[in-house]
Amino acid sequence: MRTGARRLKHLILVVVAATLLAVASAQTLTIAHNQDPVTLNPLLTTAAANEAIIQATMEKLAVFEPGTMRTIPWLLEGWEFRSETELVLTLKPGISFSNGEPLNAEAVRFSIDAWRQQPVMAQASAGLKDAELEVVDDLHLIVRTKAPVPTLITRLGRYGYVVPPAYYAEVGPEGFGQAPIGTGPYLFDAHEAGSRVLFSRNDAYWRGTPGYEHVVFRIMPDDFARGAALEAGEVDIAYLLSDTAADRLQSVDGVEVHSLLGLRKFLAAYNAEMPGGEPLLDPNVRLALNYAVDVQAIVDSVFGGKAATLGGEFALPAEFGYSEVEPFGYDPERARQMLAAAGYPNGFPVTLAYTVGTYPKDKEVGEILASYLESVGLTVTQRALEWGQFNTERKERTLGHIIAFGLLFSPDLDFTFNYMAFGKEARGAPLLTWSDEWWTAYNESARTVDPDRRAELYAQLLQIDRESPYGIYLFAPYDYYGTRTTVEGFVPREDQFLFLYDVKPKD
Amino acid sequence: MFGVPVSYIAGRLLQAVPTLLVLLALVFFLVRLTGDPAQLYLGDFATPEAVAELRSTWGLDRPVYLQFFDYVRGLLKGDLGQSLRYSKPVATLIGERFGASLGLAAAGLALSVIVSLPLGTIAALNRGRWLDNLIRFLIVIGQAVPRFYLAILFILLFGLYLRILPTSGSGTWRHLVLPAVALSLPTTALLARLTRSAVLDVISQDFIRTARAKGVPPARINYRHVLRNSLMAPITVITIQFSQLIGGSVVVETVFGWPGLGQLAIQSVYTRDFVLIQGIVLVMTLIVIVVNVITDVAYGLIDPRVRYR
Repeated sequence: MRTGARRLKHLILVVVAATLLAVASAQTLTIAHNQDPVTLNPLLTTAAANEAIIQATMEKLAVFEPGTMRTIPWLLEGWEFRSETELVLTLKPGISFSNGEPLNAEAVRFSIDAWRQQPVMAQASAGLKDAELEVVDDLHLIVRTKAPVPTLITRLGRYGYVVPPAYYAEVGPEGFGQAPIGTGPYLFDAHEAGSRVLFSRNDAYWRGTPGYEHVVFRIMPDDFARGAALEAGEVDIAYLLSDTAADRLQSVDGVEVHSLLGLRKFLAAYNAEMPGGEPLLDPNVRLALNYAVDVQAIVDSVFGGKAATLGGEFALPAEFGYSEVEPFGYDPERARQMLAAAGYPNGFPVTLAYTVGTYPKDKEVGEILASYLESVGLTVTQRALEWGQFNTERKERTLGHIIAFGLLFSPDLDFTFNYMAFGKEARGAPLLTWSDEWWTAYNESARTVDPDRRAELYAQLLQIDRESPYGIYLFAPYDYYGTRTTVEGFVPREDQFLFLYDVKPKD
Repeated sequence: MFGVPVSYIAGRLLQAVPTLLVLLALVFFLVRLTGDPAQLYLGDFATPEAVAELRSTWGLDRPVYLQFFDYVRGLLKGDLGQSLRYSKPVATLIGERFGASLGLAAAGLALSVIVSLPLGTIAALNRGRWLDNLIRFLIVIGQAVPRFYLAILFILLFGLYLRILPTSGSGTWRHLVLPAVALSLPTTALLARLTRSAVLDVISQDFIRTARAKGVPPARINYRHVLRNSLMAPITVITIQFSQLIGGSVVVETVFGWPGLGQLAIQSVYTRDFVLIQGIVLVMTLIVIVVNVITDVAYGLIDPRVRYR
């Protein structure tokens, strides 16, 4: 009798403990993240992985809509261009920072000012550096730029975080990076270096009460470990998995794998001005090398088909101004004929440089590229380099005649064409000489605010780049995320950010 | 200290100062040949003006020898400098991670010592028998399998299939088990092999034969004469391994998401955070120096024939 009572007592205790454990785990959203944030101040970083954490507590004036990557208002109610150089921003009313400071036009002015003063943001804030900011009233701010900035709204969608002025001034940029305060759905609690970043629910969040009591970002640099933790039920969301980890998780009960085409696009760019690179000044040679490479086969063999080939344009559908042009296709015979017609029947020697360990499977892609180029007669010397060395030599122009790498731009083709236009002098980008026709279209696009006209000009530029390619246009890989089926509302985004307010526990 | 003259220890530490200075100078100048951190930070789209501004903010536009003198001057005041990327004192960053690395290395080494010494001894005392063959087989496996592979196998076996230990992370003793075992296995194998060789060497010595002839019980011979005289070689390796385990556990820390110094070191190299790299190298060098002195002291404790001069 006494033994029975004791057993019952134990059973009750076990049930209560299990229930408490279940409730506690339902109240905490745990995310396996790939990087320890260098700072939590969004005005000091442009790394998407850092921002994915920061956005639990910090918000921007505008955001990119998942799926279309169109810039849509967030803390803003809307915007209006009064002229090509005058933009009126209207804020949503009634929003406060979690320390009680109001989100008003003065806070936006302060934030843009703080942002554009940071040396690390010099490029991100281009066009806004010398803009005049006028606070009209609590909800309206006028931005007057010296010249038209077509990507002004896109830049606000990418970088337009708002910080509470009084607190930011009190703690300074570095202090803010260690204890950020924003308008977001969760409040920052602690950052345990290299281990975890902790947040708790912001009950006064302007969109309503978030779904979880706590959010924990666990820092797990290894993507296999992130996948394993998800499979074991130790985390609810696994951020950015590799294709192999994603494949493994496809068949696991209680786990859902999300994939989507990211914004990073890869090419093997031509560096025609490096000694020995003269053949690459001929558009027919540049075109021929695009016919020489079977990009679809690379995607199939290296990425298991989980990447999109770029076809005939160095552009992605999610980028503003995208239009499809005729894809090159794989035609080695045509490539050989074109090389022969250009005066290189036996090919010519080139150095092909690529990174190792920077992008997924970059070394494999580099080696396959080399074999395709050799198959049409080129003599290829391969250079496989670590990213730091790769980047340094690229700037010094000594890297190679053909340089394989990836570029991640904000979703507007202005950034791509700007890179092609000015990368040559300023950024250690591969070197090419553009035609007058290209420069005319680019210069007009760079000062045109009207989106329709810009789109027309980009279509024209894409067509020119199809006929006289900047490099061998390769592919854009998919991004992978995993979630437990106990959470709902997770939407993978092309910009790799996490919008945690929408993530809730499933009933 | 432990019968070792303090002057001897002080002398050994003083001898290390030139080594430390030469190493610091080498690291300081060499890392500056590996790329521009400002360009890396600002990325592909930075203008030369932006890069120049950031270099100036970080003080990298000044002559390198001046930067070095300032750095050494700071060190003499106990200042390891400010990390370029984290905008935090290097000492703080290292301090945040050092405990985790030390804990992992200590656990890994303790495990190695506890397992390897008996294993090596047992193998040697059973030379040529099935137990020796089995242990030697395990030693080969332990030395041949890379740590990252072991780490993945452990996660699959204990974290996913058996579900008895967390797959990764830190915070409790349960989180420590898998990384410590993964870290320790190659060291365990190495120590077991060395111990086996050392024991085999000692048991063929005349004094052991004499002890046996005198009828000293085997257990006493093994403990008092064989083991103690076989420890010199393993102890040298144990101390070297300890400093290697603290700094060299990058792979294990990465796979298990362990927040240690290895992860920080690799991140500082990727981002060319010169000041942080210098700080980590300095700390690791100091550890090696201190560990070497401790090794010398340990020799004397184990072998009375060792004299300090």
